[in-house]
Amino acid sequence: MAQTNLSQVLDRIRADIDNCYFTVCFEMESGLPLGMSTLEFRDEAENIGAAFGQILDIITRGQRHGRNKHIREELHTFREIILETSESTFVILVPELGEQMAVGIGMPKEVKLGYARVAINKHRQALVESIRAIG
Amino acid sequence: MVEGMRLGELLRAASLSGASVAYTVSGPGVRGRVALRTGKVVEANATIEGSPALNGRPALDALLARSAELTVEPAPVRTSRPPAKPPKTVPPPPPPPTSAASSAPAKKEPPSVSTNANPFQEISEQMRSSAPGSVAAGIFSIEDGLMLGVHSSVPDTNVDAMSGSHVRIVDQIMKFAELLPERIRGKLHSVVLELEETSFFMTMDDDHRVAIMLAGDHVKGNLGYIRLVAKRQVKKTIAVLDGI
Repeated sequence: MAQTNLSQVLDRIRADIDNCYFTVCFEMESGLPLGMSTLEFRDEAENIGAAFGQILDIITRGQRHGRNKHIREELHTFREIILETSESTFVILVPELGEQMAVGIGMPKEVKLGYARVAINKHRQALVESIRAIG
Repeated sequence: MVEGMRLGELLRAASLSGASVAYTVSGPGVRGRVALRTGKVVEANATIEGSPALNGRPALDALLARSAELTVEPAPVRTSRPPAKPPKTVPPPPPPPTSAASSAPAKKEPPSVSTNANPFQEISEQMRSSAPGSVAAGIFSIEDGLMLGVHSSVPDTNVDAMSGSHVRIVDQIMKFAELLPERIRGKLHSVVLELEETSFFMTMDDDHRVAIMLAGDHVKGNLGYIRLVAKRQVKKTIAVLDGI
């Protein structure tokens, strides 16, 4: 049931972003996907989760081993990372601090970043609740 | 001994001026050597008490992290690359210097620290002053992780550690991005890191191997403005790089 809710929220986010490639929820430690909404990238869910999981790992390592204590403390409040490439924009966000789950969204670079953030924020609360429901 | 300058500062100066220099460093339980050829780090090694000897990037990172405790001495520049394998025959002596001025002994070559203001420092300061709410701005080389210019209000900032970690983030993101499906992957050109109170925006020019970082406060600044200011400074930075 909880997983169904999560999938529905991921579907809604994807539907709100024009031509969104995928929305995926994954466990931060392992990078394994817990739910995904996509039309064309289902076979690549594990790769996408692993890539995002590894990118987040850079942040969590900085939280533990960063040399500057101010930056180290700041990294504990990590919320979101956005990667802009020549083809696409990828957003990885932690909907709620302390939760070990993160959400990744891939979209064409033509999608305006501000618009995508509005779409994500619109569903942020539902996302938090569905992640909490997983336990 | 090079008075009053830390290893990171000397390397930055040499990198900017395209100098070929070498330094030996020593400190409590640490010894090492760093050499640059035409401004690029070509050799770095470090021996740290209780640890195995380090070479290359890990050695440079380890030395830069301890730069405050190290004494730096200019060292002779090797005119040929250090042999990777034991030589089969007796190594030839270094080529004798000719009378041409261009082939003067490398030892004579000073670190050539420019007395002019560092243009990258100026750009960094300009970035910080023109982006309201910004807390730090920096320009660094993606190639070797050395900071070219920085302006920060974050206390206790170790500039060398900061540029080193930024480069590592960029490198690793580039590496892991390869796991993404090829048809949508593209070439990474900027990274935004959002923390509770601060946003970090990094934009890079892969052709010039240079990146710009601007960090700002969420309340006093805004991401759109930070992004715009940083992107504009990329062009200016490239123009300076092309002029060196």
